[in-house]
Amino acid sequence: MSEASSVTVDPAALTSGADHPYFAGLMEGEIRLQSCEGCGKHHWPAVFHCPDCGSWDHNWSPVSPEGTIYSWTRTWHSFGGLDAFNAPFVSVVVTLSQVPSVRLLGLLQGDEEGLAIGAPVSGAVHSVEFQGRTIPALSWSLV
Amino acid sequence: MEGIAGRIAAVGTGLRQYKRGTSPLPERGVLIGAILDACADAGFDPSEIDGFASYGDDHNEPVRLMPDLGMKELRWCSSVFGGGGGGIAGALGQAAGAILTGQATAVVVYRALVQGNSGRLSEAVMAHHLNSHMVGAGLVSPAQMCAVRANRMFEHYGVPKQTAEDVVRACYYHGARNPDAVTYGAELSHEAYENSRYIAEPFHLLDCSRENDGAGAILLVSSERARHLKKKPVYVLGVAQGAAKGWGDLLENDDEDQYATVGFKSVAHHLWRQTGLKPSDIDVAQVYENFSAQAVASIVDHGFCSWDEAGDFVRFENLIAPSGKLPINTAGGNIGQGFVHGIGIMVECVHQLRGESANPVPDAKTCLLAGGPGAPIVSSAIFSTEWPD
Repeated sequence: MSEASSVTVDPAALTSGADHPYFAGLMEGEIRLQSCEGCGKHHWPAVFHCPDCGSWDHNWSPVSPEGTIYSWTRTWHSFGGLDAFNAPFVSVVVTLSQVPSVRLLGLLQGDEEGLAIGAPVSGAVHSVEFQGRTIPALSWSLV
Repeated sequence: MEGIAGRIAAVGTGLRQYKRGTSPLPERGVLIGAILDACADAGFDPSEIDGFASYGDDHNEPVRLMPDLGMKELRWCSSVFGGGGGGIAGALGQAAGAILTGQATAVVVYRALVQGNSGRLSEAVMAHHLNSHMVGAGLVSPAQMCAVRANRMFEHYGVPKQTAEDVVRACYYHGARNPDAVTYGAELSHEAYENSRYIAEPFHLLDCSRENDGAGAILLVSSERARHLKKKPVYVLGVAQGAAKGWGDLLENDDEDQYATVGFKSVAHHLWRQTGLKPSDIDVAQVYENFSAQAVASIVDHGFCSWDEAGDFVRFENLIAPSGKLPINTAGGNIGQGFVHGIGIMVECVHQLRGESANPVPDAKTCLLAGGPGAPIVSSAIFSTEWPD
């Protein structure tokens, strides 16, 4: 793991393209979410075209890195490419407090006491190594 | 009844399966063998095959099968999108559509997988899905993705974990009694299950399907033509494929009411509507179990019970032949029989309804094929011994 500010990466390598600004945001230390310029609705995964109002234009605004655990798993098997993750590790799906219609993925860092669906967490940006790529990502801590 | 409505029949099956890494032939050779087995089973001249359908990114292009089979012409071929087993019944539906619309007359649905040729299946499946969101969370395998859903099902809906163990036990029970199964003669104790190593919580090793080398093939023709072939036809009553809004490759943002399901909301609806049947009309089911918990959710998704009833319904005694309420995976399923990307459970649908299963369900007239659960698109089908006309 390394600090996001030190990474240079082409996030488009493993993104849909529509969510490129999300990864650009992570690289600058922020969670930025897409909202439609036409109707204001948050779409996630990011879309090119708003199915509700027809707009092709979007805003990307920062949201607070706080949420609750929606689900999780603790990985024990050493899956290929995950050497840097040092199994066992916990992956979490997090419902964002500020935009509850959006869930984001990440790694749980630190104390795992109290890990459960519904547990509050706070997030930070870091990066992970995978198959020669440095990928900006979120880490979450139980609060 | 609308749609396929029994106008298409499965008339022959072939399944060749080996321990991973021990296939006696390269992938295409094994597949040719399975297709010839299916033709011999039906008493059908392989040169008369004129169509193919597959799923899950099978690497064997149909045109390359023509020389070995002595085919006169290839009139039609297709494959269902997606790298997982979600398309298994969809391939059957495509084949039926081709025959019903006159684009082909004899279609083989197949899947072949030999590791030396196609690599590990789990990696091939994930190649469809991997993105930086998932990699950043350390989620790179089907087991992990399904584990996250399973934990939601267990924790949020309160489905007892015993249901998953009972699915595994039922698969082993049937596999232990099937000479063609990987688990033939094997016993599974609670201790062995519980003590098998964790892969990704809540999954132990024994919650996960195997990967075998092999190939399977099912020959389909019109029901009129089927009557003149060797074996008793097994009719296709209906097939549904797809995804409802709020499901499918959504970075874990599936709708709340679908998140802990395995994606059959629309597919199950259409299957029951097409066939005019209801869950209680199903005598036996082959429930694709990539992972144990996904089979439990598939049973719920198809309407056999609710989340609240799952603990009572998905019990070992209910899941085994001959007398369970809903015997499942009567050849052993992906966990017990072996796993060539699920094609074995479609073959078992046909065997079971012909009375050829190692674990027969007496007088079974209807068999559900519940396809690969949890995939971005899923599909299911119903087979029957009786032509509804």
